[in-house]
Amino acid sequence: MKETAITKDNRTTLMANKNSLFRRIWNYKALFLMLLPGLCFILLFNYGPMYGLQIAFKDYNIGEGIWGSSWVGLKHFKMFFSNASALRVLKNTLLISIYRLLWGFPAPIILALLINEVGNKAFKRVAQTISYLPHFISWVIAAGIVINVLSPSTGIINHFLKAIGIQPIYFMTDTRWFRTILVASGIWKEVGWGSVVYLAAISSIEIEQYDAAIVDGATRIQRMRYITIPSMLPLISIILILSMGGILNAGFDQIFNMYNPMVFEVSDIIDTYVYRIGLVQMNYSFSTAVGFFKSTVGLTLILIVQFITKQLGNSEYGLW
Amino acid sequence: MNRHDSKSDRIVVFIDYILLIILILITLYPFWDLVVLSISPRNEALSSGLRLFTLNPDFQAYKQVFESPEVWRSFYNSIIRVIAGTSISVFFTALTAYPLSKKDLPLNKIITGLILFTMMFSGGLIPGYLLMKSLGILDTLWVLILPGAVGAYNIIIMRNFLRTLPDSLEESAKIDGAKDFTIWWQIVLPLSTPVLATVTLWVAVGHWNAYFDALIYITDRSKYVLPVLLRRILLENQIEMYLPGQADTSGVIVKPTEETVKAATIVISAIPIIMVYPFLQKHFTKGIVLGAVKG
Repeated sequence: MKETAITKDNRTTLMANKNSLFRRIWNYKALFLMLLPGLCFILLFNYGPMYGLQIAFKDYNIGEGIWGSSWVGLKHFKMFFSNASALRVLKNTLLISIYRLLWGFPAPIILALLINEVGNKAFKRVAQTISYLPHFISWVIAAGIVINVLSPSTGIINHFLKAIGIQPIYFMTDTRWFRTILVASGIWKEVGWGSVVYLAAISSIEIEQYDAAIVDGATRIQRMRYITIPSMLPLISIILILSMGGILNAGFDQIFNMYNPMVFEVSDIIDTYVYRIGLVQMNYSFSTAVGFFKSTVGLTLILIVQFITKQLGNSEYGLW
Repeated sequence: MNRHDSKSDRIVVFIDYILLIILILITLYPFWDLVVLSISPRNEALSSGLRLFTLNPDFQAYKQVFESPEVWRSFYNSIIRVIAGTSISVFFTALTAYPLSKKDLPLNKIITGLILFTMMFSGGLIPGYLLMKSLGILDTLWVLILPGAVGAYNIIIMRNFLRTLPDSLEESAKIDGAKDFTIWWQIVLPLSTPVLATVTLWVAVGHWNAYFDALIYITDRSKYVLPVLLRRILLENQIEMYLPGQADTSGVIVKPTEETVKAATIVISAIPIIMVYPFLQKHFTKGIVLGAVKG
């Protein structure tokens, strides 16, 4: 707002408003003081790097620093999109994400439904507890475990393949198998953990609904279809929105720990590419441009999906 | 199974149990296989097949791992990281969440929005790296502790929990003349143990398992944390460099295979998590349910 355009009256109300906001803050000064350290952390470590994003539009030069390096416009973005490896990376990211969504998204829902139908309490608890176990170990260890199980010489899978007369498969270096392994081992590690939140949603369904359905003679499958699943829909929708926002996150931790140059062609995703180009080859500006592109698309996707869900009605289905 | 079940329902339940049993076996076998491999003598480790047990357990591989000073040092660094990182993180997260749980706090929505935005957008890898470099904290413990200390997700979970506490407790303390900070420390925190326990465990396990920040920010070998050492040994095949027993092939004693040593390394590093696991899962579950509450 231009200072000159404000009439005297407006200015006094503006001042009064400012005063009152200031006074209100002053009344809460102790609370603001408590908020201060946390906000400093967030400003420094979350917003701080956003300042460095400008090097995506510059030719970063260590001597000149972030601010001193010269502007080059969209050079790095153009370079990315005119680059064959970039297209491969984009394709891999999307494909792996889509496979994960297709197989990995329904898996915890199905597991929650399966666990929910178990009558024996002890078995239910054992099944649940064991199913989350792999979630607690890091991908470094999990990758070691996967490599061990799939080993062509001593792994259990190849043992069975040999037993039925199939030649051992070098799973970890075979481009035809690598994505399948990513998706399958991802489900192995996270399905139990993913089901926790769905089971919590199921446990909040009123038991009377089931009783009434039983009186009406509904089978288990019918109860699942007409009571359990519809009750989970708002939650399913929220989790789907969140995973749509992460469509360009094809799972850095897992791929980074499992891939090797022999399968780069099918497994190199934006994040691994940014890591290699940026930190290994020290191509800071280009790598930042690629990362910036990725975060922007991710943010836009979350906003679009959220907007669409809101338009469809029920705010219960949205994120905020 | 209950008395209402028809024949078709019983089949459904039967299939359900079978599927879950298969899932349990698939989840557990890879872990079990590693444990057995880690104590298998050389000839058994080299053969393929279903590994259920070994008749001649051989603890050579464990000996080799425990004899490595690098393993002990990185283990020690990891413990320090977990203790220091978790205390700093939980303290400041709880401190930040408290004012935000007050709905009448001026600018609350704007500040919360500012925090939530960090969940959807970030500067990315290189700008983050350059920031740490310019702060001069590369190759120190601080670079592993400070950047993630206060995160949006944990703040929101704590805030949502705090909103369920009755206001009357704080009001009566205020009438008695207590200041905000005292109220937080003496009344609110003791009442928040469920959410504090949850977040503490989340953060602690996060620190224990974190490898990427340590991999990019720490180049000094003496400051390695366990997951980074593991990565070098397991995935980058630098086993000889860190577990030197392996390099000596002239000995008469039959050395454990590389795979056996790797298995022993995994088992050792997974033990702390598996030991606290029953306790963990209770609180983790509580946390994810708390987190699902919208506010």
